[in-house]
Amino acid sequence: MKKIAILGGASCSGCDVALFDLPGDELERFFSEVEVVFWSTTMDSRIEDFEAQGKIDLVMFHGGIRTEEHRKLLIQAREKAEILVALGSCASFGGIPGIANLFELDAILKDIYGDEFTKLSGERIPKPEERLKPISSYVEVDYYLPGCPPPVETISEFLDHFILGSLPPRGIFGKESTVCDECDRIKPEDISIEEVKRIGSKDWSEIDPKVCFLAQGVVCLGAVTRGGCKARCINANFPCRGCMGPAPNIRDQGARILSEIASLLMKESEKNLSDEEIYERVQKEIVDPVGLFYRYTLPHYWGGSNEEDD
Amino acid sequence: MKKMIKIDPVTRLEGEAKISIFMDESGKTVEDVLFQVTEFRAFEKFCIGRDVMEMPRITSAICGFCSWAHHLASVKAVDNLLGKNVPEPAEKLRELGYCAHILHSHLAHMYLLALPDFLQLKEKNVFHLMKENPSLVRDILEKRRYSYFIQEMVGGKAIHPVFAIPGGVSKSISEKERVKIEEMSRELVDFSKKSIEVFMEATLKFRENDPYYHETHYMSLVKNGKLNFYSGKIRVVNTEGKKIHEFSPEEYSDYIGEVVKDWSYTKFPYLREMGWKGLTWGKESGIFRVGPLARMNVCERMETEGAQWEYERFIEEMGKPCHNTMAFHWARAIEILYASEKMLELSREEDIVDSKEIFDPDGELRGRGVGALEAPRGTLYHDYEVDEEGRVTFVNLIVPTTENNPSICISVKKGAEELLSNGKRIDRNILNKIEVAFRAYDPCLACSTHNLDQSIRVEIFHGSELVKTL
Ligand code: SF4
Ligand code: SF4
Ligand code: SF4
Repeated sequence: MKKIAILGGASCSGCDVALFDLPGDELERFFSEVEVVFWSTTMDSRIEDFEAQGKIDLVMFHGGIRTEEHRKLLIQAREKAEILVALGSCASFGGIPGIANLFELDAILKDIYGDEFTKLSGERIPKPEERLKPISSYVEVDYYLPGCPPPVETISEFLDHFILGSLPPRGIFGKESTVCDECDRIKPEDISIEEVKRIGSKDWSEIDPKVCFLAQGVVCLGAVTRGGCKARCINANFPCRGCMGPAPNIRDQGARILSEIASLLMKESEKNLSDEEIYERVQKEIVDPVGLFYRYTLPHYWGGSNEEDD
Repeated sequence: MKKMIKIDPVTRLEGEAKISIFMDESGKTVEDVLFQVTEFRAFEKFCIGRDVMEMPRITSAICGFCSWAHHLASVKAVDNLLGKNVPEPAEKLRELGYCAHILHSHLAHMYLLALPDFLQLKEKNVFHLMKENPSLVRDILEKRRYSYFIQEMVGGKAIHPVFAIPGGVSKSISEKERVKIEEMSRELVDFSKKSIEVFMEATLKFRENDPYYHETHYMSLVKNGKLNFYSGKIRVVNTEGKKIHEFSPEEYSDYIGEVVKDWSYTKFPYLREMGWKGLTWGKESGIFRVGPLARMNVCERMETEGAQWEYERFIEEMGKPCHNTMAFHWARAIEILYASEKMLELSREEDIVDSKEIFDPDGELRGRGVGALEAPRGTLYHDYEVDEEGRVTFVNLIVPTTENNPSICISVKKGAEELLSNGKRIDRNILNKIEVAFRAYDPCLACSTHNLDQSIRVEIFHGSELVKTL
């Protein structure tokens, strides 16, 4: 029987609960063919049990790396895993908790705990790492299942391939398309926008649910985001926030959408502005560009690479 | 030499945690219990600087088990901050989705995490149960999947929904979807009724001998005295069941104080009126509990018929207020019936279909906004302050597991005292029993660690020496 383990770092656990949203018969089939050796959400398994394990066929890791303990666990996971999966956007790119990389660790601790922190920082508490990082910063990852959480269909497809031994070559397990490709809103040829509209603001009531958000001045990350989610947010009339991570062939998801929006906002006369001026222009329109454009991927681009620290 | 026992991690919980039990020199008496928080994500810090309009979609990631609770508490805080009047149909849609979420969350806890404790299983986990009773598990998963579908239809995404926007919702539902929801709700009502029997029995076994019994005050949201997950006033009843406070969400800090203990990352909330008196319980203590049991103790009645009948039966058997910690399980089961019945009721409302009245465009930024609701595990507060552009400048979150933290410590302490006294050998079995105390509260570790993720585990110390980690 194939052995599997599910482990987490700085995670909301949404990725591991998502597994239980698979159809009942599929879960039953899957779990009758594998032995779960560690999954503390569902079983009485202790860290020692995990440590005692030899090779494990499949280890799925959700959440980024925020503490020393996470890092150690991840490194062990890599040693044991035949196949190591980054489950979800936190493990893959850092995810929402990665926004914390905008702040220094000391400032975070001091702000939340004040002077109590000195007492807390004793040996009883795992040491926080300076920055949150995706798991690929520390170990080689075989597959990435992006999404916050990954779509149930993607998880199910992956597990099927795993059982059948028919997994594709390593890398991102997902679609080679963008969210825009999956979105059926009307996309006008030429778009330019006067101003950026905020969610829930006065202008929101003018939004036509049949027309592309971006064309109507609402920031949508569909063009720079990998597909596979069936544009589920857009179908709920909410713009894409980029949870599936950068689209194929896009190096920097945030930078790309920022420059796209900037160019839509720019009038002819502004087209030769410097990068800084462009950012300023965008900042005038958007309250929090970083939290919008890098919501799920900040550590992937910033404070997330090994080179920076070594 | 003093002893320390450690369970690492405490399992079948939402997230990971660690419990440390301190014994005296003889190793026979429990001196203290630590509920430890050991990791962090720092939401309260990194939400500073964010666009407040985006908060409902950022804060849901605090917890994947109750993402809806954070999503909606957050949007309510922003509604409040902008003085928005959410139109009726939008409120109904939010509540409808939220009832589905209560089911999604409660069913996971009841069946996937807690049930194995109540069955004579060789291995206490759902995979073992799957082998022993596949049709039962299949049925559970299928019914739980209904709540997944409903959440997705209403909220866009089942986990980390997107539809609630300041002033209302981004979409209503189609007639086809409404019919589906109505059908599924009907089945869920029946399923909930069956579930109650299972968890009632489990609770009654502990009625006379609940090692985790303790008397506290209770807090919950009520709407006209009735249980409501989504809106209402916050009411507090004391150890004798007498109403002592009733207030609006914005006033929470007048009633609730928080202490930071130097050995835990989680704060310890208490009622200001009584003050913080350490880990003591009873009428004079400021410790209160939240969650399913608290809701049974606080509300006067249930809004829906079946749930009311079950509620009366609960009180008849357990008394009111009921201080038996194990009764959390029974109470949780009654709540899934309420949620299913309420969902059925809401699914019959006409104005939730293809509705145009789902958004209030007006509203001015005011400095501060507070939103509260009953999360599956208890009262949840989101409190934000913003600058004149709507950039967040301050965030305070009070989450249910944190509110229950002092009581969890007490329950574990009491359980540990009983189980470990008289020089009983400490083994995995005993520690599993201590964990049962934990699981009754359904502590959500992802949540309480919105600032510091915790791993719950149990450690047994003799003084400062760690003698056992299990
Ligand atoms: S990717 Fe999303 S669902 Fe998964 S752990 Fe991170 S925040 Fe939670
Ligand atoms: S930008 Fe957004 S709304 Fe427009 S087509 Fe792409 S995904 Fe659809
Ligand atoms: S639409 Fe965008 S934010 Fe929504 S699920 Fe898809 S990738 Fe994620």
